[in-house]
Amino acid sequence: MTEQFPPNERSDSAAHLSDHELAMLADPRLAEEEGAAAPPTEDRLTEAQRHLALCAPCREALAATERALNALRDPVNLLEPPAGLWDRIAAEIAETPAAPGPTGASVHQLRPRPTPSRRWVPLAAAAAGVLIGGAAVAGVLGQGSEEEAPAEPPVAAPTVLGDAALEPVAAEDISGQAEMVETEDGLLEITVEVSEAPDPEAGYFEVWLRNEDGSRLQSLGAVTGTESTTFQVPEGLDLSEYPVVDVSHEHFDGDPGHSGTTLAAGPMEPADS
Amino acid sequence: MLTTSSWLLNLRTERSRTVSAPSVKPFPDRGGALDPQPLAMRFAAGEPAAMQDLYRQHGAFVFSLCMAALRHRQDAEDATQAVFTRAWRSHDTYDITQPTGAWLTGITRRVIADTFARRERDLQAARAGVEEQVREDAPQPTDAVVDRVVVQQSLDALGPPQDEILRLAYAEDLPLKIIAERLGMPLGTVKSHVHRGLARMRKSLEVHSD
Ligand SMILES: [Zn+2]
Repeated sequence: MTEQFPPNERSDSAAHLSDHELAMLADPRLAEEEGAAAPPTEDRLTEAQRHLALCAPCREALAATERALNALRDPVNLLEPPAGLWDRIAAEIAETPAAPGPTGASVHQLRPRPTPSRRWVPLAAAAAGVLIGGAAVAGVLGQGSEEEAPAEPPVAAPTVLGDAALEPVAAEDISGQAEMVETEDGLLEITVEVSEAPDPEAGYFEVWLRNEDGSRLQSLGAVTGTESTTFQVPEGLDLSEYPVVDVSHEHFDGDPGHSGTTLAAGPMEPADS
Repeated sequence: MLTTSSWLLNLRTERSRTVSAPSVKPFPDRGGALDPQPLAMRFAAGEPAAMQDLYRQHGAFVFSLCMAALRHRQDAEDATQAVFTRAWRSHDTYDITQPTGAWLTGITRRVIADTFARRERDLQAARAGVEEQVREDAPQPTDAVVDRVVVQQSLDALGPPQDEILRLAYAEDLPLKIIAERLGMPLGTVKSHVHRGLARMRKSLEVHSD
């Protein structure tokens, strides 16, 4: 049986129900005839019920699973809107100017400096060669058992977890690099360096973590020069939801949101092990 | 290699219950193109061209939602038009941390509610001075309609064989064993697909339920 399921978390009664358990609770057919290798299903479900009684988020997740089942049992046809509908919408929109958003015009006030090909020097070069494997990370996070964790180096050095090449997006040809490290305190930090600095009169650069389509955004802070800037990643941020490093051009307009003008961006890649 | 790509997935997920699906990848595949100017940002910035992209991306979803809820083609077209013009007019209230699809779902709910309210008023006006009629079949609550359309969209996005397995298991209500025989798959594999598919459906509902 090579199917990868989320691990059975029930051994730790504080852990939330896994997707696997939620599905088995919502559809008992999934709980029948579990493989012989799996722990007795009855016990797991009893444990799961006990957890449910105490945990509102898991009750909500179970309710959502049941809603999904109900929806699946009652399928609906997805329909393309009629061909002319967009034209009608476009015509109505044309008569309805939206509130003016920021324009891209001021981006051109940036003064690019002709030194874009500076070499990125990893700050945590000392940690180069540190093997990042599942066991090592589990050790860092305190998830693995003590016996499994490899011996820690005597001096705890920041561990390079990943890096990102920030490719130019806007016409200004601004690029950069970002590197994520885990400090000896277990905090995640991202160090960012961009090839050009903003003209202070034209605003500032802001570094974000986001998902691919920009529907999730987390601001890390502002970059003011070409020297590298280090930001702390907010604790608890789920990095799988924010895989992209984004540098935007912001104005001093009091609007804390992303301006919509990305200068450079790139996906964070795990460090080579 | 699994260890280096899955470690980040596990890194900060203990407090976040939404990420345990094996289908969620910590980083995009190399093949996945990075959207240079994300639609959500262009829309928030009020870029007119973003509006058409938004319609291309979500037009069928919004229209299907309106059709399923209103069960009347002309009303559904009018409602869809209202949703997108409302979205355009109020783009500055769009919270960029929210997926555009979920935001449009919220607007669509309100437009549907407005349409029902208008129908009710028309009905009251028509009824004035007339005997109480038998109420026509009550519409399904909008929440359930939203669930069905969101799940359908998410199901269509799953791709084979997961979409087919979920259809057979729930729309057709076939025993999992029969599905396994029919598709020539081990029962465990069928169950695994159902598990993953259900997790995806649940998450899409969670996103659209705010
Ligand atoms: Zn829980």
